[in-house]
Amino acid sequence: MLPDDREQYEIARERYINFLRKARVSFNHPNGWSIFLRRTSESPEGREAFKAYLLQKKLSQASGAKIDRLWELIQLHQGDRMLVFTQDNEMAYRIGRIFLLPVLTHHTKLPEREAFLKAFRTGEYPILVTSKVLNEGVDVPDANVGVIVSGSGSIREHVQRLGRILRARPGKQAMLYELVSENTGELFTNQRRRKHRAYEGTAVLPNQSGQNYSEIN
Amino acid sequence: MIKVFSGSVGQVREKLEEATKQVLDVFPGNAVVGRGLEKLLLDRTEFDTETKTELADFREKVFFHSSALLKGKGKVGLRGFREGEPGYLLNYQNEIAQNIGVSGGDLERQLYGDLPPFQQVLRFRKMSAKGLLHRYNCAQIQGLLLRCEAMTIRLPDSGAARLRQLLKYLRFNKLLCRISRNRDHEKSLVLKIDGPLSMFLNTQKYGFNLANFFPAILHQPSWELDAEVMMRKNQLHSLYLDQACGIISHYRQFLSYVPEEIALFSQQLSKNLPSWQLTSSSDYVPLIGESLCFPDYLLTHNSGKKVALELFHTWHAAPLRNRLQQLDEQNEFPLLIGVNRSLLKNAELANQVESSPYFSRFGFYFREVPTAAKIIPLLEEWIKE
Repeated sequence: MLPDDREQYEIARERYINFLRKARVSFNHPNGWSIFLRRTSESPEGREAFKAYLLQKKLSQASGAKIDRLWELIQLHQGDRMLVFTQDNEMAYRIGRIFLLPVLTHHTKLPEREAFLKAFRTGEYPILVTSKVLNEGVDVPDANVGVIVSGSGSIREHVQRLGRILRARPGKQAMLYELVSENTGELFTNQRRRKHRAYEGTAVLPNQSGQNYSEIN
Repeated sequence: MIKVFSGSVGQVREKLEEATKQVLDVFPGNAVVGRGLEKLLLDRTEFDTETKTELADFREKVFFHSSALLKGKGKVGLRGFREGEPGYLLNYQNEIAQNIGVSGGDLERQLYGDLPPFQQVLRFRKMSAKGLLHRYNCAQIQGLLLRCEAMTIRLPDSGAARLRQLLKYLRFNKLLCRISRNRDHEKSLVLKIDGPLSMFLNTQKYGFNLANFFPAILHQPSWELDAEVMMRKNQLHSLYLDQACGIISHYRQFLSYVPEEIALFSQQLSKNLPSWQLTSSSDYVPLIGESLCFPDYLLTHNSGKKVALELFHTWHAAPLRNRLQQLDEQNEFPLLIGVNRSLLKNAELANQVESSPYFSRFGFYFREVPTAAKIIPLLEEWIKE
């Protein structure tokens, strides 16, 4: 995380955690999330805490540092076919605007959606950015690099995303990168979704800027 | 909040949402209520959602150039990340902007300029603050009805005109309803309406139709509603309401309103068969036993002869079964019946329809709406009888 993002993240997270303690909300409770939503809607302090919750989540999932890392990966994988996944549309379009890339979300109208998929399939577009629309049910062309910029803790969603790049083909080697903000709540989310046997035997690769990337092949 | 929405015409959605957020931030009550009010006002707001083909063309051009660079076909390769290096992000963005002929900033702004946050507000249907609160309360009940098993409405004393209006809404929403009259009290009616949770197919659509019907009940001078509602964790609760709840319907009294499909059907019929006139039916047809049939339309011949028409839609399998049984048993021809073809997916029912002597003479099939071509031969047969 960049220093500015980190500072804002810490303030917002502290406000949100303090509210959880004060309101005695525990996410271990089966209805923890709905209790949290109810409590935060009952008072101005609660609303502030909810905003703080959203902000710290957004900062960890969509930090400026992730944009920098993504640019490195794009350069590293010139000539590859890459799918970039995000948790929400906002981040998908932010990436699309910065790197001038096609973005596929539920807002994409059918003719354009078909055109994007076709261009990606033929190799005309080497990169496609998407939020959740490609998780299932869409016939996505073959990709050999996947980058998860942000995602939920759902194993199912994660395995579907993995499946998009791990389609077996003789001689194919696929890579999946997950960008996770260090020392944030995102790390737990990342660990939750990795409870799958596909992760047995992952390795850590250093890259050009000295960052570590987990690799699955 | 209403003031914010009223002044939003011409603005983009993002600006409207920023302004409503400011109002919601200082909303004195529960934030969920505030967001509910905002949602109801958004429902009354029309945005420009038309596809902007020029932006899709613009994107195609941009992606053509960005893809070329990303595949290493640019003037400079994509190498290095820092300022001064060829792969510096700004260099990449500027090269594409130059190829397109716009500035880097414009390129970033315009690229996805047709997303919902940038859609323009075209219209807002104004309402009063009081009207909004009534609409909110009405929506609370509608939300519960989306998950109801069954609903009973008692109308102790409804005049013919208001009752007609209620029955129109019942038909427009294609609801399954059994209507009976209280023997001791001529004017008292009981309507038993099946809920979405008792359906096997299209449950959600049926639920919306039932919810859409509720505001029509509010127009009745006196009424009682009982419903079995499924709440979270599958607990069944009872909902009871009567006219004392004080909610005012946002539906207009529309005694003269004719839905488009009926108008079209009527036009078609008068063009092909000028001796007949189609109107929406306002009276009931007594059938054998205690039951009453409230048909959909009334067809009046120049000679003054009248015949009622009842339509059976996707959800009406059970009523169709009963109706065919009744009609086959009685020796009169009280009405014509139209059956939506989707009902024939049920093999047993299809068999009953095919083998019904009554249906073979006075019945017809339709897809979305009935057509004049299907009805004309039946009317000719009717006149003969």
